[in-house]
Amino acid sequence: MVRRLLALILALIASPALAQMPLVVSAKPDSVAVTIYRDPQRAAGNAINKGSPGAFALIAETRVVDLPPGEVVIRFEGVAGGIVPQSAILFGTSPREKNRDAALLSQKGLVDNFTGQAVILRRTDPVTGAVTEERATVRSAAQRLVVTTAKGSEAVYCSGLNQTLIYPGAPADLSAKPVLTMTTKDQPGGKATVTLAYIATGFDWDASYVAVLSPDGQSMSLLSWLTMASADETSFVDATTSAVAGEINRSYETHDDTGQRAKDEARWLNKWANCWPAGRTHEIPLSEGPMPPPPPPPPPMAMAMSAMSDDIIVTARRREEKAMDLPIAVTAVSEALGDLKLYRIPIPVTVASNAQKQVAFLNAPKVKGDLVYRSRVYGQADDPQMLFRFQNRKTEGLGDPLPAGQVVVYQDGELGRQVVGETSTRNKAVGEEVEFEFGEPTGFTVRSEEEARVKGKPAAVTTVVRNANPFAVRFELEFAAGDDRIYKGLPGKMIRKPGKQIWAMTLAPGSETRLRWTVAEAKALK
Amino acid sequence: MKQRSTAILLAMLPGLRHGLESKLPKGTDMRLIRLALLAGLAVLPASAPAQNAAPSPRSAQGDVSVTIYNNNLALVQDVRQVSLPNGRSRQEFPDVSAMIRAETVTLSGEGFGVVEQNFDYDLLTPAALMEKAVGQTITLVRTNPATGAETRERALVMAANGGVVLKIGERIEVLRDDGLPVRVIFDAIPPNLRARPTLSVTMDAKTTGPRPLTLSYLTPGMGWKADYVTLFDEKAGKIDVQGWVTLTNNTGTTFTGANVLMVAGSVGQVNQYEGYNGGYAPPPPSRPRGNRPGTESGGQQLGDFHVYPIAGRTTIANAQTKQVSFLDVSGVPARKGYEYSNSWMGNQSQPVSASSILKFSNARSGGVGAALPAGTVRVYMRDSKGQAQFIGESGIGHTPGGSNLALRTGEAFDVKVQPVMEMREQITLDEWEKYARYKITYPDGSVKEVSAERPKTYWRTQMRYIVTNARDVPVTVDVAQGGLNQWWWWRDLRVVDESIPGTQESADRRTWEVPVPANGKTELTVTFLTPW
Repeated sequence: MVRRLLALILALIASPALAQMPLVVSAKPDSVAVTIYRDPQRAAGNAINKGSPGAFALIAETRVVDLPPGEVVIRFEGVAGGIVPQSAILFGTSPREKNRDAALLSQKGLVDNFTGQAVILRRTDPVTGAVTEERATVRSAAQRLVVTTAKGSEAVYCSGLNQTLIYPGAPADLSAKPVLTMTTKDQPGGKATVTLAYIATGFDWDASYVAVLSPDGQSMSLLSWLTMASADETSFVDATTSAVAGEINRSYETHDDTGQRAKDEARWLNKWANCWPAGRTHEIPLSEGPMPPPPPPPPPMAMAMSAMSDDIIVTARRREEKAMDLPIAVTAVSEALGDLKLYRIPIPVTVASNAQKQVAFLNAPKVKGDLVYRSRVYGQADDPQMLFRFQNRKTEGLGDPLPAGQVVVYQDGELGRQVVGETSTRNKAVGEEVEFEFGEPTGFTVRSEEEARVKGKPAAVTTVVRNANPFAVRFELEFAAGDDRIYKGLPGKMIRKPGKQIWAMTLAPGSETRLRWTVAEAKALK
Repeated sequence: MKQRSTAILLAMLPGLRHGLESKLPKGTDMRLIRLALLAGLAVLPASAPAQNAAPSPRSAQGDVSVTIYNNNLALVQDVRQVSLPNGRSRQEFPDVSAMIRAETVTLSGEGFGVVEQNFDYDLLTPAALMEKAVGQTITLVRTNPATGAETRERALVMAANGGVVLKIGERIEVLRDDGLPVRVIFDAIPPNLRARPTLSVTMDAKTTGPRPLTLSYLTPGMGWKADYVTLFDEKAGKIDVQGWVTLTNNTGTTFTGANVLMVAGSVGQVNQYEGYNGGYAPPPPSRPRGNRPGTESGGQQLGDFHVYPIAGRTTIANAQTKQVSFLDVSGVPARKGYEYSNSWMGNQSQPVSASSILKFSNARSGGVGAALPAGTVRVYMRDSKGQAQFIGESGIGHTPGGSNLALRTGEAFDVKVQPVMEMREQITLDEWEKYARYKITYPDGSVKEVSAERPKTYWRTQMRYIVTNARDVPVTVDVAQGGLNQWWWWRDLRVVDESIPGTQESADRRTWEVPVPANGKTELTVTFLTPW
């Protein structure tokens, strides 16, 4: 009898406004696919912001639910924390409506929900530990709590006593996290497979290239990693994982509403701000009330990394050299996705929360190209830069799309492998010419000087190019097509390329060359 | 009625509790039972009116209709059964939107007149409570920190400025200046201090009895937009489109069992300009070529606006984002295009990706067949495993039926354009312009006409656009050159040579449709003559 009464009362508490329809909770996905996109706003040379990655992922979850017949509310739990509810699509069902509820269960949410209702006010004696309880009615909102008891009205937070409110139950329409639900149409019931796909913020990926130049500079080996980062609170275990390369358009009208505002509002409760006028701060003792705890520090990177599965090679930049000597067991496979490129990891992997993961997607042992020392000319020649230039073609040993990312360039020499520079590349399609411009040489110098002007004659520039290296160097002077000046006096021919002209020569080891040209402003030709 | 049932239950409680205590085995946590009883107390009286009109356990709302506009505005109409006494009475209307624009409230019904409407937002806070208690007597309960013993005394509140100054007997003291805990108990809460802002209306009724009152008001905090899910099948050249109305409720109030109507449009709110608020959005990129508004009517309309009702009644909870389907069509013809727009004298050292453009119509024949309210179109495509992958999105404005849409979804990885300025030089044309003409009449009456001419000088700009395609299908890229009317008083543009015939779309913009073979390259060369 008692138990039945209790059950009845508890059932009454639990009955939410929506409960006219049966509620089915789908606790977690049965299988999940994660596709990570690259931040279109992030330049090729910029690293991923691991703390808050700027891009997003498309998460497709397959869930099996057991439905009673009729109209049913299905609640999806275990979705990504950064879910953008407006983007949610459901395959395998056509719901009547989808809802995202962001009324959160918090101290503030509790008080606000019980305004005007009865609670228990509990007071603990700090000396004896004796507990007294009395019935109270909440009379105001959470941040200015006033309750009425049989004795009269009082402000709970302003007394300095150890007191708290005890609630008869958690309101059913408040939830720990923003909750996604859908209401089905009238349906026959039974087991149903639903695919829930949605966009979630807090993900990003980058291509990380490791190029090793051959000692003669005529080729390089190129290994590329998909470096994926997640700052989401949810781990996706054994997910079909892929990454999309290319620039995606995001609409200006879209504000990825992940319910962050609701979370911030729920967290913000200043209990003492509305206490009565206080002459001095110590009158409202801060030490007596519980201060909101500071947010937990992000887990250290090393810890997060250990959560990854074993058959994936996880590497930080320092260990890349070692990783390259390892055989690559798994390589992501690329395919065209409309005008984008999709890289699919062929085995299920775990996209862990607050973690970074790397999987190889390209391993070209020998890409033929040229090591070039180049100076750009704007009147005079700039300091030279070293670059490795190659055609992204099958015949040269590559011929794969190269997504934008960062490049580390090594070279093998007598003293072993050394870093020679770092650079970045934009999205490069098959058939394009690619230049990895990775650093300034030390054994190769270009000195330009303008000669004394002679009236009526164009300015003349003398340039001395010196190669102190024990090997021959291909040297190029590059003239931009947008430059209005006219250069004359260089021996031999110019190579025309789109947007520029190039003059090239090879310097023998330990040699020096003197070049001279004149510069004239382009004028109207009468 | 409601009050009475609560009172009865309250009266029953002690007895019920006694009965329970005596029957329960020892050691049962009495607090739990007390809690449960209390919960019953909280729920029971509220659930009683569920048999009446009010559908929610706690809401005082009646039959609610909500009309939501795009520009963060909603019209709420709430029909409540209110029992009025004869003559003047003051009625409170709880559970209106917490963001209610009180000046827009109207109340209508039979057999009464409105005396005054009040919106009270003097909120109950500890500080306000103390300030209103100035000049009155309160009770202090002091707790001895060493023994825990409580002592009670009455105190007169003299002032509540910096520190609360109390008069206890003949002493003057500042409340809690010593930092020791003190409970302050007020005898009563002043009637105008409220938990939440409250709307009240004083009215003069001619007859006694219950009657429906229609309360209508405007509130910000609610808005809606459309979200479209577009699944693109490139090979078949078709899209499936699902349209969802996405409405958000941040009013702080739940509207239970409401009739909901969405109006596609921003109702005019004139004189609302309040100067720059710093909300500086980056200028949206120019719309792709091929957008043309249509002229087909259809669907439900309300004056100039399209309306989208939600079938049946629905509850819009506070802090909720609700999506309801309003469109589901499949097999709509669609095609993909590419576009690259170059600025005047634009020169790129590396090839730059062309934009991918998805083109379709919302006409009744060969299109989506419905007007599209403003929102976001997200485009998906199936990968080789059949999984739908996101390939980009674009915002659209309110789009009348029969329009052509061209949406930029992203930048193509494999289709690129490199614009190169090959040459720019000043030339003199074999063409003369008259710059002066005058007539001279001599004293003898003879007349001589004089005119002066000079050759025209122009800038010749030779452009080359290298369009490459690394895809295994041929594509057509719309290459546009902009910046052709920079000097509006000096429009003398000549295109003397172009390798593919172009279209002068406007004074500013000329477009060429450049076909590029699969895994191939096409070069477009154009020579412009401009006076600048």
